[in-house]
Amino acid sequence: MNGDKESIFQKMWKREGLRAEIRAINALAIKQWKVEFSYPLSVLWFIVMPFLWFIPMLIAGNAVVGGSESAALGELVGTTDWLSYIAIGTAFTGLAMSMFWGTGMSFRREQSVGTLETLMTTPMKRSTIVWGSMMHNLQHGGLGVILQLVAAVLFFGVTINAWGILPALAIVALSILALQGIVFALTCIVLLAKQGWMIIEFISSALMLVAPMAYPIAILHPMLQYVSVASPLTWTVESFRGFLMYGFAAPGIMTAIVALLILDVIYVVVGILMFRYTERYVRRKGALSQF
Amino acid sequence: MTIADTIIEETPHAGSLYLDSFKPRLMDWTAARVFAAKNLKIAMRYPANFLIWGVLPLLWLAPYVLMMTALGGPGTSTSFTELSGFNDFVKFAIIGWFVYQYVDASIWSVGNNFRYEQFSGTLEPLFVTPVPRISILTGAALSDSIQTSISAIVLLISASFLFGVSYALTAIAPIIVLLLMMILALYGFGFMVAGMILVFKDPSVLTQFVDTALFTVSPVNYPLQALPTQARYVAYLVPSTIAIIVIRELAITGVFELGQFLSSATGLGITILFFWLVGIASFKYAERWTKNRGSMGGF
Amino acid sequence: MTLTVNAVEIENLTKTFISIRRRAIVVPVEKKRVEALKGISLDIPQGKVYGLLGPNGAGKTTLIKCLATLVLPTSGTARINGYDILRESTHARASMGVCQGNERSIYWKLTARENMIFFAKLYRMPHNEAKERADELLGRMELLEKADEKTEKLSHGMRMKIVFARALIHDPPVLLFDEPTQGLDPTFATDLRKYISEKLSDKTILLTTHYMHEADLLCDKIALINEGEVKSFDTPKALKKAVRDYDSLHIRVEGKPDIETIKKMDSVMSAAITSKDGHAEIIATSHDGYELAHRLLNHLHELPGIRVEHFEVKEPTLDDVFLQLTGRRIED
Repeated sequence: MNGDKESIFQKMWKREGLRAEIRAINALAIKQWKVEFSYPLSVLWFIVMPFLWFIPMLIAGNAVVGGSESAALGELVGTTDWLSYIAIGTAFTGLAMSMFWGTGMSFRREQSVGTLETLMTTPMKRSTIVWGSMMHNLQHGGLGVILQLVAAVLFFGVTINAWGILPALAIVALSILALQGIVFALTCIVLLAKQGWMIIEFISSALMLVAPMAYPIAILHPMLQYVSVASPLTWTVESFRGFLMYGFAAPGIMTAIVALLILDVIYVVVGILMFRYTERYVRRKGALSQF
Repeated sequence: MTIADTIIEETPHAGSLYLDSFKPRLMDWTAARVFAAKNLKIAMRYPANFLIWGVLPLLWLAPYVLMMTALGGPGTSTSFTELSGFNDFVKFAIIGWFVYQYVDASIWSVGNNFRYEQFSGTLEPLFVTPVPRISILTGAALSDSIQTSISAIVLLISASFLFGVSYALTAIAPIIVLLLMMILALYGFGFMVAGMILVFKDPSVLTQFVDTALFTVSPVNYPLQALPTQARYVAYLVPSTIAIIVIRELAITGVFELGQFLSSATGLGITILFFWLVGIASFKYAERWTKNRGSMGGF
Repeated sequence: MTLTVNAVEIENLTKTFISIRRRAIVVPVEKKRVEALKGISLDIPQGKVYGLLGPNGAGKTTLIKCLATLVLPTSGTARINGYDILRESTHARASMGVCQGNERSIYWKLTARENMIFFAKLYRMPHNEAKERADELLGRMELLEKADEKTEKLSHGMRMKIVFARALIHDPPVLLFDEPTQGLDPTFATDLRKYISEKLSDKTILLTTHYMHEADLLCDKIALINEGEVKSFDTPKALKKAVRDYDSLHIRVEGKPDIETIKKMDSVMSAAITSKDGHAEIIATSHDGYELAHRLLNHLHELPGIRVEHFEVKEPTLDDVFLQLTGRRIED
C-alpha cells in the first residue's frame, strides 16, 4: 500500500514552485465560478448588470444634452461624442467593481462558513488565495466589460476603433498590479473589521467618484483632482478609452503608461506588505474562523 | 424559558396566564416596536454605520451631478429645461436622491435584515414565536425608516451645501405628509422584497437587480419625460414616483396647491393599499414556499 | 524530504490570547488575558498515534491550530516532519493533513468530487491526477455513488467523510485530527475509527477527542490536557494502571446531592458530579468500590429529595484517570 501512495506525496513535494501556485490560482478561480453559478439569479444578474448600470446614465446624459453631440464635453475633452465617452468609460466600472468587491466578499464568506481555515492549511502561499480570487474577478469583470461594449455598439450606436482593442487590453493588464494592490488592502479590511463591506463600499465609491468614467477629472474640485492623479483607475480609464476611441492616435498615452508603471510598484508593494502583516495579526489573534 | 418553549410544553388545555390571555392577532404592534428597538440597538453597536449613512449616498449622487455638468454645461441646459420645466438640474437631482433614499432602504434593508437573521441563526427562533410575521417585518421597516431618515437628511444638507443649491421650506408640512404616505406604501413593497429573498436566498444579486431597475425608471436624476413611453407606465408601479415628483415641485417652487396635493395624496393612498395587499400576499406565499421545502435556515 | 525520528516535535509551546474590550471611546481599554497553552512539549515518533484528551476549553483545538499554522503561538515552536511551523510554514503545511471536525470546512455548493479535485490542485496536483486521487479516496469512503451530488444535499456523516478524505488528499506523513468523530452517528464513527487504525497505520497522527473510548482504542499514547497544560502523558494502559487499584463508582440519582459532603467521606479518593434536567450523575473513586457503594447509598437514602436510580461499580477508565488528576470530568 506504500508504493504508489508515497509517490503522491513525493510528487507533490517536487512540484513546489511558481507552476504549483498558478495551478492553485486557477483552481481557486474555477471554484469561485462554480460557487457563483450555483445561485441561479447571479447568472441572470451577470448578463444584465452592465446594461442596467449604464442605462440611467444614458438617460440622464440625454436629458441634459438633448442630442448626440455635447458642446460642453467638446470643450472639456475635445470630443463631442458623449455617448461613446461614457459608454467606454463606464464599461470599465464593471471590471473595477468586480475586482474591488469580489475578493473581499469571498474572503468574508469563507471566513464565516469555515472554509478559509481549510484553505490556509494547504501548502500554497497565503497571498495565492488573493491572487486566485483576483483571477476569478478578472475573468468575471472582463466578461462584463466585453458584454457592455458589445451592447453599446449594437444598441446605442457607439463606435469602437478596432486598432485600439489590443492596446486597450494591454492597458488593462498594466493596471492589474496596481488594482491588485488595492484589493490586498481591501482584503485586510475585511479580515480586520466587522463591517468590512461598508468600508469597501466607501473606498470603492470614492475611487469611482474620482475616476474619469463619465466625466473628465477637470470637472472635479481641485483637491479631488490630486486624489484622482494618485489613483490607478484614472490613468487606466483615460488610456483604455483613448485607445478604443482613437486607436493608436490616442493622446497622452505615454504619460499614462509611465504613471501606471509607477503606481503599479507603489500599490502592489504596499498592498502585499499590508496583507502579510494582517495575515500574521489575524493568526496571532486566532481569528481566522470566528466572527 | 422562551415563550415558544412554554407553548410546546403545555398541552392546549393545561392553561397558563400567558395562554389564557393569548389571542392570535393580525398585527402585533408591541412586537413590531420591540423588534424595531432591537434593530436600532444593534445598529448603534456598529459605529461605522453613522459615518457611512451620511457619506455613501453622497458618493453615489456626485458622479451623476458631475456627469450631467460635464455633458450639459454647468448648472443648466436648454434641453433639460425644455424636458422637465426646471432650470437647475443639480437642484432637480438632489431632492430626487433625497426621496429615493427611502426606496433604496425599502429594497435593501428589509432583505438585509432577514439575511442578517438567517446568517446569525435567529430567523427560525423568530418564526416560532407566536408573533405575526408581518409585525416582525413592520418592526424591521420601522427601524430602517428611522435610520434612512437620518441618512437622507444628512445627504440633503451636505449635497445642497456642496453643490450650492437651496430649497424652499414654505411647503414643508405637505412634504412631510406625502413623505410619510410614501414610506407607508414602501413598507408594502418591502414585504414583497422580503418574500423574494426568502425564496431566492441570495439577496445581493436580487436586490441589486431590483434596485437598479427601479432607479432607472424613477424620476431621480431626470424627469419621467426623458423615459420612453412604456417605461413611464412602469414608473407609476413604483410606489415612490408620485411622491418624488410632487415633493420635488413643492421643495423647488415652494408653492402649495390644495387640488394638486389632494390628488397626489389620493394616488398615494391607492398605492399604499395596493402594495400592502400585494406585499403581504406575496410574503405569505413565499413563507409557505420555504416552509414546504424546509429551507428557511439554509444558505 | 528531511528524515527525522520524531515526525512531530512540540517545544514549549505557549499561546496567550489577549482580547481588548473598549466600553466607550473615552474609557481606557480593558485587557483580558486567556492562557490557552501554558508551555506544551510533546514528541511524536513516526508512525505513532497520539491523542490529546481533555474537556472543552482545555486547549486541544488551540494546539492543533498552532500546529496547522492557523494560529501563531506566543512563544515556543514545533516541527512537523522536521519543518519548523514558524520559519518553514509552507513545508510544514505540505507535510500534514488537517481535519477539523467541522462539516463547514468544505464547499457545500460544490459536489464531493469537485471539492476533492479543487483541494488536490491546491496540493499541486495536475487535473487528471487530481481526478484519479479524488475518485480513489471517495471510493475508499464509499462515496462514489454520491460523488456528483452537491455537498449540501448529503447527510452530515457523508460530509464528514469528505472532510476526512480531503485531509488525506496528498497522502501526508502527518495527520492532525481535531475531534474527527464529533457529532457523527455511531456507525459512521466506528467506520472512521476502523479506517484510522487499519488504513493509516503508517501515518503519524495527533488527534484530539473527548471520547475516552476513542482515545483508548486508537492511541499509542495519550496526553491528558487541562487548562493548557499536559497533566499526564503515557500509554492508555499505563494511565489506567495508575488507577487500577481503585474502583470507580457511578451513581445516578434524581435531585442534586451536595458533592462536597461526599468528597469528605472516608475512603473517597475523588468525586465529581454532573447534573442535568433534575438528575445527577456522581462518580467517585475508592480502593474498595463496593464498600463505598454501601455507605454512599445509605448516605443518599437519608437525604431529602434524592432518589437513587442506578448504581454501578466499574473498572477504571481514562475518565477516572482524568478525574483523579484534575478533579474534573472530561465530558463536563
